[in-house]
Amino acid sequence: MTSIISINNFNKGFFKKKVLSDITLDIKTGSVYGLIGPNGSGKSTLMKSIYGLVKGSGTISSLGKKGVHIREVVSYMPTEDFLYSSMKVSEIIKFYVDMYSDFSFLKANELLDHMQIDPKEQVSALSTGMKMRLKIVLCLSRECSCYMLDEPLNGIDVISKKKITETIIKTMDEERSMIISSHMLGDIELILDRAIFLKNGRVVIEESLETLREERNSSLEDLYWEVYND
Amino acid sequence: MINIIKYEILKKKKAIILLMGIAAALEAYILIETPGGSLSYLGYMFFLTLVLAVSQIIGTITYYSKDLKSKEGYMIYMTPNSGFKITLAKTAAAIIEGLFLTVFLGLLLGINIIFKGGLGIDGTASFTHNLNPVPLFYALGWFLYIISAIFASVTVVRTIFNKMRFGGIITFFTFSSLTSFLGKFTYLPRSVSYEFSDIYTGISFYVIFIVLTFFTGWLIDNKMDF
Repeated sequence: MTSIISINNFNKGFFKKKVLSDITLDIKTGSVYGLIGPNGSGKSTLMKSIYGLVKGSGTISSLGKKGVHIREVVSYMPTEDFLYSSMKVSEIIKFYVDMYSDFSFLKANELLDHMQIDPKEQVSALSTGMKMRLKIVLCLSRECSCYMLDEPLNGIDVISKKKITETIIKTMDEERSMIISSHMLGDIELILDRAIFLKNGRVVIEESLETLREERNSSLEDLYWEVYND
Repeated sequence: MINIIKYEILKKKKAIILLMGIAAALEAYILIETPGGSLSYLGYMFFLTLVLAVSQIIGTITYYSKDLKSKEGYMIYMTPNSGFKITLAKTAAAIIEGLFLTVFLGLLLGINIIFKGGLGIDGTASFTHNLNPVPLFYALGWFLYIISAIFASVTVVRTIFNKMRFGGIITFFTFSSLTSFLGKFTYLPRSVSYEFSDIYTGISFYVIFIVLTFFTGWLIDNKMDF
């Protein structure tokens, strides 16, 4: 397993409030990482920092690339509703083809089909679940080394959840890695290989799910209660 | 970079078409309802040019600011392009739009000359005179200088005073301070010949534009949080 993302002593604060403290992590290929923590624990900020949207002190690199160049090897889906609402789905796909050299038009069409999204549909006319599906399609249609999905299963129906989970499993292989942030543990537990628990901006646990189950004899949800119920 | 320019122009397509539509409707009214060869047409064209130029600059600032503040800005700022490249592309898009509107105005003027006698004076000589490249070089430099100063001011305010209220007013004061400071570098002492002084001013606009665009790009890449 090779390292895809290296984070060393990363810190981020907004005014006097420290959001991320001394984050040191090594994200390796072939694993799906769960970035776990309650609201405000720093999950989104950490993802945005990796992608260069939020700046802090310390170093973050991916396959030797730093800053905006990380975006050449990492694909990121933020929680925000960022798609141009005036565009059609097909126009958004064209935008991605134009902007990302590793974006696969074929894969995007396959995924659109799987997610049952009509390319002729206007983005503004899509429901929350359909927008989430589209964002997942855009993120996973890039042929890159690492994918980061911020709360991909938040606020969507059961069918959308199933479709998204299937797509995530289909995309993963031994050469890539994936980081998924969520506080809906039941939904993501089955697809995770490793878990990173964030508490008050610090990494408190970083371990494989197998080890966690064997050593602590507890599910992810039990562990979540143990870590955050204070 | 061409792709960024393309999408920047596409984003503003509706606003540009609306502006052109209003100008075309006014021109049609003038052609049908007013007598030809009138000097008041010169005043009208001057007014129209001013309105289009101001609208275009306001539009450029609005879209730039919106991209930095709203989540739709992620579409551009999440791409693997440096802040410098994106800022440069946004400036190029503004210039192309400006040129497009200039050509459109020229077209309206041409139509009026053909059907109504235009300005009522022989504008050919004046037009030929205005094709002198030096004033054009100077005007383009000034435009780049102003746009880059606006982009830099918006970016500084968005980076440092992100959560503060009255962002527009703070941006205006930042822009005023920045241009009054940089303005000192665009003029030579009066003892220098007018010709040389003009060339110096023109070149200084371009130099400041490059420096400010690099500075804005650096802020976006290294200091700004989205």
